[in-house]
Amino acid sequence: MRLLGLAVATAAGLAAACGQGTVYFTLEAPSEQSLSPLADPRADSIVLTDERTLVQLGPPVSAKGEAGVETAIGPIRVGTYDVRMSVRGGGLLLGLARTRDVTITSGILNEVTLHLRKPLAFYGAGRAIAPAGMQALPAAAQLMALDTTLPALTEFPAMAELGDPGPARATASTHDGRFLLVGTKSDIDVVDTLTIRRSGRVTLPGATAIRSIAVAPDDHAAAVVTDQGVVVIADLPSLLAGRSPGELLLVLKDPAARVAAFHPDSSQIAVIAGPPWENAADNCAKAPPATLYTFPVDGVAPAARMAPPGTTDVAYDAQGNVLMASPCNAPGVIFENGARPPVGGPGVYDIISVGDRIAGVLGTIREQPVPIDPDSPRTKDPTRPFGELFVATATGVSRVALPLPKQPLDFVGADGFPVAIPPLSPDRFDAYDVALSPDGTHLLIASRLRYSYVTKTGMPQRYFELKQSNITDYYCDLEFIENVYRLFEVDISSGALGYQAIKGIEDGKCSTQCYDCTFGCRPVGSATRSDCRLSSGFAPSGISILMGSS
Amino acid sequence: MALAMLSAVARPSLAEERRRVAVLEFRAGVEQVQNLGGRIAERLKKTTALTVVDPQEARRRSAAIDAAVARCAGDAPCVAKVGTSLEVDEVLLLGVSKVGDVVLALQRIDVETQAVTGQLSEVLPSAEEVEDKKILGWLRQLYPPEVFKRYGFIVVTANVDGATVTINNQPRGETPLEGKLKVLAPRSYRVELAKPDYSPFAARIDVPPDATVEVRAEMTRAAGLLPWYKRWYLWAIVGGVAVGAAVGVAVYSLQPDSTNVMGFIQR
Repeated sequence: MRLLGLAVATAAGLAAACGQGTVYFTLEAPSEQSLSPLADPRADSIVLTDERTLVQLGPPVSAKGEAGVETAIGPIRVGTYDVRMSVRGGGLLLGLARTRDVTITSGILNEVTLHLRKPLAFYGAGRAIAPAGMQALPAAAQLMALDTTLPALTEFPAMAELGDPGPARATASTHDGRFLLVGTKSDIDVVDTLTIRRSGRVTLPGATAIRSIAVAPDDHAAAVVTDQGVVVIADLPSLLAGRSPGELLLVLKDPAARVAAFHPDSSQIAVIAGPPWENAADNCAKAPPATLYTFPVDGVAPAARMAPPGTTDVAYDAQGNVLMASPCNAPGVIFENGARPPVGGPGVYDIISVGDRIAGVLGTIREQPVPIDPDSPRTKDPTRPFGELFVATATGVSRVALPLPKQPLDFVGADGFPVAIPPLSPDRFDAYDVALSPDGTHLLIASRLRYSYVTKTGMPQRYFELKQSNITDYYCDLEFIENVYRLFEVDISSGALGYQAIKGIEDGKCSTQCYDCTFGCRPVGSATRSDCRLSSGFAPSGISILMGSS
Repeated sequence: MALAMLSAVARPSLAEERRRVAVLEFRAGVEQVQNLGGRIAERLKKTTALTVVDPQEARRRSAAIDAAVARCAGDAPCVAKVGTSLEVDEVLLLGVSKVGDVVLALQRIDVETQAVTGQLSEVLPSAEEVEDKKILGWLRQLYPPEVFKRYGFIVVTANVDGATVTINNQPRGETPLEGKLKVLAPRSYRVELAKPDYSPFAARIDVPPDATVEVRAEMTRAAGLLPWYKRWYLWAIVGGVAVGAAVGVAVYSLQPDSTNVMGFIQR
């Protein structure tokens, strides 16, 4: 009996061990290889983290392995977590899954599905540029995408077929990255990011242009800003599941509504009604007025008050303070009611607020000396133009210089000879739409850069002159103002550029003329100035990155 | 811990609640991607709780099935009638044609309503082989996630009535339990029975998909008014400690840990 007692004691211990409980984190990734982070040959580790405390849940495990394989990650403390799973490789974030409010209980079998997605960036077109001159750039597709994990210049073929034949105007992803909301003229299309295929649609009555979309942090609601005002989709989960979201009401009637943001606890919405960004900073002395609205998600009685003139964006910080961006505002991004001092600087159109970080891109341009100018290697004391981005945290503000591209002029003048002018630095930089990658390391920026070759009074400027005895015999001039719409990705800590591409060119003015001054300066050849205008492409807008911030 | 007898027998479960799907193929003279219908049926069998009739089984049930499907030329009501003859609830029709590249069309046709309830098309470059992962991707697009949940059953019997039955700490009733308990599979479960004056019973079982595991618990009365030195469990504790520090520490450290669970990542 004593021997039996010994045997039973051991058996009792072993049996007790079975009562600890387990948790299975099951990965769901797209089957399409180009969409799956696990299929990326660079993937080498998987890390589980609690987003509430930033504590790692278990050690990193290898990302290599066959489907169906279970990998033990050791003991996990019971509790409730916001689980974040990162797939990393080569120093890059290759994939991410986020699931909120995961409760792990002891003594039972816990099952958690993690929906793994690449941090794809999606964008549409705010405006098509009417073509003039040679058609140089492609028109916008319905929905365009970038794989932010791949090398520069790699566009990702977006496969969604939207209902509206025109390009998307706005995009926003759910917090868990499983769905992308795409706004066209009057429809919200739901795109399932597992397959990049449309899985649902809802039409907003009365709207003819969707301007922006905001998704609540808890993924329970969405605010859609249209040319009529703001529609709140209060039952977003139903729309995402392919069911009717119920009646959609115009909660805020204001045709000037431009952009919306959700409070961090998803209970409140802030809306800015004001000018489009193109009008906001053209003349800061007469900046158009703007209004700030805030209201609960159920849309009762929006409270309105004045916002700084020319305000173009609104956001909340982690404490629930309202922030506003007005590019005319010299101090930069301001907090409503002076909750905190302003941050940034002038020319900020779009605010990124995530966690305790506030980031944006300024409109300032500074020529800074560089060792060598790659565009003009023989130039003495070369300088290059730099913009600036800022990141403000509780401990301070860091600023990073952002190299801006020069614009070469490669067309023929009125005299049939090439216009020989060094590449131009931009004289204006408007970063009107910005999105931050989910790992917080990269900004995707839609910008307008203006290049000019005119005198200070806006008249054509001479670029070529022949003189004899200090008297002008012959000269040619150029009148040139060009807006270039660029999409580019920048490392937020170093300012290094990654992906960059010109999406649109719009010449306000481009003409040349040459003059013979032998007997008074007269135009050579035709009296009409030679037109060199080129316009094509589109202005990208509505940028979002899956599980990122915009 | 009381002595207890456990008898766990896994046997195939009845398919009374499972939807029956026939996978049929219709080819327009295309020789590529042979046996794709069979492979799709195999994937369905392995990953879903559906009862699947693959193309070979369909031919066994009806020798003229291929000709009947060909005559339908993809017409849903016609294909639904073919499904009726096979005594299934749904037909998953695979159409294979070639226009330069190979074009696949998959359609779910409900036999009762004769309507198409889901479809997708895919274009394959002629030389491309179709991987199992791709087939699974198609099926996940066509079928809702619930279909991919698989189940097994647990039957619990005991030699005493009125014992509380819990499975993974969830109460499931008292003995005698009626019928079978439906659970997700394949999974491990901890089955516990408890009744006052009886020593508790616990066992860990693994439930395979579509199987029924029977747990027959033999519960014994708790030790009565015996002198302390005659109670067997005292000797168990004393014996555990007496053997040496290793066993004593092992027994102690293996006590149920209520603050942690074991974690796994499953692809």
